Amino acid sequence: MRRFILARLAQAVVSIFVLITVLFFMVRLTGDPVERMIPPQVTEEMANELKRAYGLDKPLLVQYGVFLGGLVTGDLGTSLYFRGRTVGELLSLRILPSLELSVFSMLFSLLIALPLGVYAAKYRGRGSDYVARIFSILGGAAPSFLVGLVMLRIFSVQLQWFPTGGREGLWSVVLPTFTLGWFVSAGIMRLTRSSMLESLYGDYVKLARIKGVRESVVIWKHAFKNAALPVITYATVIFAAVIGGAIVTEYVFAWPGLGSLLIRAVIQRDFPVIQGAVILIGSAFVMCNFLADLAYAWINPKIRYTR
Amino acid sequence: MLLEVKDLRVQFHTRRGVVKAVDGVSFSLDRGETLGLVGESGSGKSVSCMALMRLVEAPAGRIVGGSVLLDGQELLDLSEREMRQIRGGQISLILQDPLSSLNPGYTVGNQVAEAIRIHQGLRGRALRDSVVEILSQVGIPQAERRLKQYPHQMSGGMRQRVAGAIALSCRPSLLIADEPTTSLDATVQAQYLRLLSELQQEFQFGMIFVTHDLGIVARLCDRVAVMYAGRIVETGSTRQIFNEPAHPYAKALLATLPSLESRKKRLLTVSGQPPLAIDLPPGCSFAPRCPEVMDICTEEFPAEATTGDRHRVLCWLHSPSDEMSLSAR
Repeated sequence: MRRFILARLAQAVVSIFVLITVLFFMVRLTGDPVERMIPPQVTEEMANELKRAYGLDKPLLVQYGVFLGGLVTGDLGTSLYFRGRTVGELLSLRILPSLELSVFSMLFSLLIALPLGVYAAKYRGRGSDYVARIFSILGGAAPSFLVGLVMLRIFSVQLQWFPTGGREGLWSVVLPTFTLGWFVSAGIMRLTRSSMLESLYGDYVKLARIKGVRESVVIWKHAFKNAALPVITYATVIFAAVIGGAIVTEYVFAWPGLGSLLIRAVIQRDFPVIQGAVILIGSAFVMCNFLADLAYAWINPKIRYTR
Repeated sequence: MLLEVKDLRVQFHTRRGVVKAVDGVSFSLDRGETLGLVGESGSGKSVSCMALMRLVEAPAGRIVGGSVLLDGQELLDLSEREMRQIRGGQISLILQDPLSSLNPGYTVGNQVAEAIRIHQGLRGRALRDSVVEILSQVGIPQAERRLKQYPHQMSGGMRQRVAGAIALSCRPSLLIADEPTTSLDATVQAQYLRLLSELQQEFQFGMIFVTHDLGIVARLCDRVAVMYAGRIVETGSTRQIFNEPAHPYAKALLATLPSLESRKKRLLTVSGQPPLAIDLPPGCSFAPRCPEVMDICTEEFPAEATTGDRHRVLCWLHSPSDEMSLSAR
């Protein structure tokens, strides 16, 4: 088991390094950030000076070296758009709201989707199955901005239960959590249902019943544990994607998350911020996958020994 | 009498109609006795066995009639909760494929312990000792060390022994073995059958052995029930069935047994296909394939005839009624 963990950790580190490198060169294909920083009438001389000031005049490889050097010391550079503010500072303001929203909506969706998926499979073709499937189809099909706006209209404007936007106190996280969580739960529920259907008809589930095991234990201990593998994979990927990618939800609820910061940075060709944000999101992604691998090994002991 | 099954009926409701998977099955079994249940795939052997434990897949499948008496207790009247006490406690079942019937996610020790914990309420040290004891009894060497192993770390034969240990862990009075050796190779199969016989001698459980291997039946079983299209068409002692089969289907099955004398001839099969159990014709279900078919066979279902001590057959050739005996000549 220790070898398994170490091997996976090493893989994670390599993945992050590859991500950083590819990212560094790719953002520089998007164009010259200085064009966005200065008014058009400014002379070329001044533009060049600006480039020098930000180190953008040096050869790419040298820039890459400087970037890596900074990274080792934890310095992600300075934003080109928000003048004078470091990337670290910008990110640290955004990471907490993003984590908060993604963790809450993930928990919410798992809490809804897992039981719903399990019981939809158990009662396949009956009423509760249809209710669960309609819930999931709606969650997946209705665009987040629509759900978000309807929520705002009903619960914030008319009933005035929740604030209309921003991040102030625990109440403000409820509507964004629901909006994002519903969308996320759609896929998780469907996957749980289909995976459970397969495992519920497995012989080991039959054997559990033959042993006289209670039906709830048959379902959760025997069937669900084996059905959980694909669900974990999917949930991890979704979780990582939601950390930096909940842009629509962030926008609708004026939520100060990473997604909206990243979008602005891309539009402004704010290289250091893009790099910083993607490294952060990417690392979260890699981290999630690492945890998912550990979960696999726990669920399916065969994985521990064969790899 | 340990087990008395009377007129057991199981139906499956499908889109294409009602499937009478088990259509009036009756048989009985004593303690220490072994009944071989033989027949082609789809003849209702496995469904009958699952029905004895009341584990027919709902909502499509349902036990619609009959009676199952275990030690005089009517199982079909029990509540689900009471039935759980019977399952794994008084009746156990060994499934066909040991690889898929053990849960890949739990250790062997955990899976054996589960049944003992449920039915005997043992915990901790006592539970562990009990698991080790039953694993040793089914011939698993170094049982202590195996507790922490997962099914995939064991060979097929060992896994089937674990399945046997689970089934016998609570000293059931009835063991149903649903083709437990089909996936094992020949030598392992022989060992496993010997083990089952030895354990039966020791614990005196009644055993229903489902198989389509007549060789196993000859070696292992005291009596045989031949199933066809949801019915037991012939039942009797193994000797009676092998020496003087009465039903044409039983005769045909026995003729498929290869022997040294017949090796020059090609392998025999029972010709034709078993019927779909939807909309069965009014007469005998075997009539379309029967080499000895008569007019009456396609019109009316035959009544049961007794040709000897506990030797019963469902066939017009052996009808108890006078008129039919005439036409049988």
